[in-house]
Amino acid sequence: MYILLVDDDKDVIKPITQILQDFGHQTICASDGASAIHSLMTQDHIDLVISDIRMPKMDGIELLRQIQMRAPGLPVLLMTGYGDESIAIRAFKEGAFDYIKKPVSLRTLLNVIQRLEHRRKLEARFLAPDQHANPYAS
Amino acid sequence: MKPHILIVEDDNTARHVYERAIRSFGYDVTSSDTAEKAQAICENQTFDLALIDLQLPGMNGLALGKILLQKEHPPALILMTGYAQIESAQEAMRIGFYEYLTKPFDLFVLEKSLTNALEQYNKKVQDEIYQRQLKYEVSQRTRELSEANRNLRQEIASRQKYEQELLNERNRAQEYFDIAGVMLLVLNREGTVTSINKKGCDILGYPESEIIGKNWFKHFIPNEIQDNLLAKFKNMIKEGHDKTEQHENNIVNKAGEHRLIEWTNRLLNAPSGKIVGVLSAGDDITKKKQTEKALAEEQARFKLLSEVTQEGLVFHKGGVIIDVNPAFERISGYTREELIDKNGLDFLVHPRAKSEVSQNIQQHKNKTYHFKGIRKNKTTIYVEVEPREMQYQGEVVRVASIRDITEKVKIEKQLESQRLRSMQADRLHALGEMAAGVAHELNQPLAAISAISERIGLRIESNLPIDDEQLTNMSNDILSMVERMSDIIEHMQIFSRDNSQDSASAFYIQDVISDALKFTQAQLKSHGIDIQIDIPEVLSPCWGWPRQIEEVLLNLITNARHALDDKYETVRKFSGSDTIWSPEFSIRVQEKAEANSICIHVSDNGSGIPNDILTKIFNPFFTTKEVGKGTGLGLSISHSIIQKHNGTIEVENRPDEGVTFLIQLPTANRDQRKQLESETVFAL
Repeated sequence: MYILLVDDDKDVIKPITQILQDFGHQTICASDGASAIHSLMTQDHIDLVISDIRMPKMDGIELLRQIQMRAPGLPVLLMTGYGDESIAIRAFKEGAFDYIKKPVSLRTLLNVIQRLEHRRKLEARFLAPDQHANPYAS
Repeated sequence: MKPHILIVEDDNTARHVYERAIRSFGYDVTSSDTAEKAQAICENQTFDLALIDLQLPGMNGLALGKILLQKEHPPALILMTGYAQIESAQEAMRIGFYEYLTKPFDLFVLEKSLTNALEQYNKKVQDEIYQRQLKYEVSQRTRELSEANRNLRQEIASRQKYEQELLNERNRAQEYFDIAGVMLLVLNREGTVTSINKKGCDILGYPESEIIGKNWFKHFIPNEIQDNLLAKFKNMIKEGHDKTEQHENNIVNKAGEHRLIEWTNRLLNAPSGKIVGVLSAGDDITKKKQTEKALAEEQARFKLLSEVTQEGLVFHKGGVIIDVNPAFERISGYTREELIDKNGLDFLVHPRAKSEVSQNIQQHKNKTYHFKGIRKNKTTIYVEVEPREMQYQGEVVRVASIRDITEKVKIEKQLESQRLRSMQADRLHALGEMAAGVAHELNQPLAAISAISERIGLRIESNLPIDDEQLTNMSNDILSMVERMSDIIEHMQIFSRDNSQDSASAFYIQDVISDALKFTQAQLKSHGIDIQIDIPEVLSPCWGWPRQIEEVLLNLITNARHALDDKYETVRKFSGSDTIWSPEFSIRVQEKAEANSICIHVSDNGSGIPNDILTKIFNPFFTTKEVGKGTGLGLSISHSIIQKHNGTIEVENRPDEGVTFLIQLPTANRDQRKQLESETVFAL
């Protein structure tokens, strides 16, 4: 998968990038909302956005809205800090794919991504019969 | 003794005849034939009678007679003359001859003449003797008289001198009388004024002429005491003794005013011993009495005041106590008698305060100050002293007004320790706030370590090999995370320690800001707050307590974070999706070299402070936060810390747009900087 990571803290980004690469994903990083939008607009094959909620200038919720405006249906995974559950819940309502608590458990993150891949496969099978061979049709 | 007769006759016959005849008359006879021989005989002998012939060879009879008459005891002289020598005879009588006989003369006549002459001669001799005695007596008497005269003259002279002296004395007495500072007055037995001096006239207001001759009691004594005084006066004259003790009474002067006079009386005696009057000396004590009265009233009033006042009063000279009031007895526990004449510095003042107190006394300082004193029961007492200098019973003394401020000091001390405790509590609270920040700070590296550990686990599970390079990177990452955490923990220890006793030092504000951010940066970031730091690379050092300045910054950062969080919640709750607002926090530093100060702006773009509470934000215990979230001391402590650094802290409020706190800190002076340099050298 091609994953966009948004966080202003390199210490957060680094281990996530490493483990995602260990498991065969490609990553691209942005340190704030604006550069995330920019990457989104210039890279057209992004499969997932993982973003922090609390960020300077543009927070995760705002970024979520911006993404939904520009790339409807692109899944956004939000990382929340301590005490941000209420915001996370709101994020769900706004259409976030999921949220994970910081400090991020890599195992959980991999599980979430696996869950997403699985869903994408299902979606590909049922929602786009033109592009993907229908196993039941064949 | 027979009368002795000298015959001088040149005719021998005549001479022999006369010799025999005269012897026969019963007389002794000596004879001579010349005047010269006769003169020689008379040198050695005295004769009662000389019978001398006129015609003699050489010197004649008259000449011899003249010589003999010069003798002390001259003989009676009889001259014998010839016929017709009557003129010579007359001449002889003039010279002093007793008689002359004209030759020839009868012997009977001779005898008769001799007898007469001798009788005459004896009479003359007796006369002479008498005369001589008389003369002696007279001279004697004269001498006595002149002696007496001289004495008399002397006496007169001395008497004159005495009289002059007497006069002088009298003049002097008169002068004294007139210039005397008291009124002097002579009254006769009836009480009539016979003499008065100038002062007396001045006091009475009349000229002397209008006083002399008037009855003293009738004219110059107030009616109500006239009779009484006159009776006393009469009694004094009658009894004949001066009243030695003084007495005072009023007199009336021309203006009708009463003057109080203090009298001393002396009886005047005539030489006979009879009392003729009284000399009175009177001192006008009206003013003195008034003054005394006023003084007594003043003293009474003063005594009353000093007794009723709650302030202790100590009158002293150089610490030696002259008087105290009852309030001071209460304060000190000593009685007045125990204190008087003692030096209060020795036992009333605490030994440690002694030098200050005695210095204030010596330098005549009149400034109010406090010191620690000791009561009689050895307990200590805090007193506030307001010293003054004043006249007290004729001397310049120091008066210390003393208030017992022990309770006040105790309360102040309690308040101070309460404040210190509060400050400590607030620091602990700040520490609590920090703990949240620290949690974030620690969470980051912890998460990183945890991630590395997870990655290892996941790779092993998935049979992904880990090469040496990867292992080295992981190990380095872990170490750097651990270092970061140690750093934070160490700083937290430094900060949480009670640093109120630390001495001031030079420090760089950028170090303090970076320390403060160490705790808070991650937290601010995790709250989505954009942090902007703008600090010049080169700054002058400041002087003071860096940890306290850090506390101020932490306070301001925490406040800003709360404000930004609140606004974030509000914005999220009420605004639409297109709201472009994100929390921002900034610290900007500027040095103002011309003002020797460093300016720190701490800003946020939160909601600002409502104007109605703006004036209260530096008050202790003022807070808008909910219970448990803040003590309300943060800004008040920050304020006192900055004041302690001789700096200022001001707030620039933009309602709905945020707040900027502006801190000005003086830069270190040259001496203070030296310390920093030496420390730097030491550190190198």
